[in-house]
Amino acid sequence: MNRWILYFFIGLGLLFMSCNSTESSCPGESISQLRIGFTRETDSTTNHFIVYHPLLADSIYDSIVAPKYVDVPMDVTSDSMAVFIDFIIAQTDSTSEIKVTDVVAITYKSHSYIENLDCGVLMDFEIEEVYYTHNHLDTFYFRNKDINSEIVNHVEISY
Amino acid sequence: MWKYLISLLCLVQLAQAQVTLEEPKRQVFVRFGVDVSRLGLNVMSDYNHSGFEMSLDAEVKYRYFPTLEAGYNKLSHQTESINYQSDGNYFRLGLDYNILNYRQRFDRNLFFVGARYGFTAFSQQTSDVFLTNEWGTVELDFAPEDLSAHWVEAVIGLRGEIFKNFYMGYTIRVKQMLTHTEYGDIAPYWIPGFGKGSRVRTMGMSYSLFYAIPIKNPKPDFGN
Repeated sequence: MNRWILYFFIGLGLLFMSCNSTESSCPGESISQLRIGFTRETDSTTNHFIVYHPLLADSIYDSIVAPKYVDVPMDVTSDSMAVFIDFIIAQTDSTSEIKVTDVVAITYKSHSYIENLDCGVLMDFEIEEVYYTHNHLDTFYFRNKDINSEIVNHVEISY
Repeated sequence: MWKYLISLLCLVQLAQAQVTLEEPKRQVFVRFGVDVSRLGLNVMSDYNHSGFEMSLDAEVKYRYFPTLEAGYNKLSHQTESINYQSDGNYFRLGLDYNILNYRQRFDRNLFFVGARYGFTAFSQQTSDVFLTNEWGTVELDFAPEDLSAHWVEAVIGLRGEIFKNFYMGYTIRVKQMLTHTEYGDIAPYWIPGFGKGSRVRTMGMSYSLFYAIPIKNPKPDFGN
């Protein structure tokens, strides 16, 4: 019967461990974000960099520091979205600047799921189509159509 | 001389008779179990979680125990950003193989490995979902859904007799999803009997008390 007592305590230990196993933690954002990667060409004359949407009160990014990437909040009220990128470029005489704007637009469908009830419903997206203008940006690559908790660049822009 | 020879023959015959003692007949019983760990679900879980599970098993052939398990499970959770509920019935049908030795089988103790097929029919409701970011707040209400799922389990466990005909034991389960009805707008968070719906493989554990109902051939007395 000693063997059964041993098994009993092993079982209790397993039960204890299973009861104390923690739920997976909530992701930083319950709504996944579009990540646009940026590469500054060596001969680039861009002095200032602004990423925004006219309907949003604040700019998504606004700095003289060239970003490696910018995380763009997805519009949960729609199935399409545009991002405006202002490049403030130094003129050849270096005394004045001009603003050149490019627009990246995407259509997408959303996917809701629950990973942990404490985190509520999470929302991922799948990009269906991508459009962009070519006023200042050099190259544009569409890298990944799945916008989820995985941290990857979905599109990449060099300027 | 003849007297000694006859005595010797009698002794040999007696020894043979002892060796060929009739083997006790296999005991027939049905073991009824209640998973007591289900009673504490609400204490162990962060959510409103309740349910019960019962089981039946019997030895139909030496070492082989067909098993039927059935239960009900309900999980609900309500916060400012979600109102969720999943509830339904489930059953598992399977076979356990007792790896304990010959003598112990008459104690009806089990150290077993086995397999199960599981099925559940359940309903899910997800409502009052609010998602907010820089673009504003969107409210989502998902239509109630009636869903079903099929899975298989590999199990290992114990049944030990604590008092005459009363047993306790546990079963550790590794579950693998086979198929499920197509999910609607949102995959189920909780599938009764299986676990988290976002996973294809889950683990589970039952801790049960049993009563074995003797039907035929009482347990032989082996002594201590």
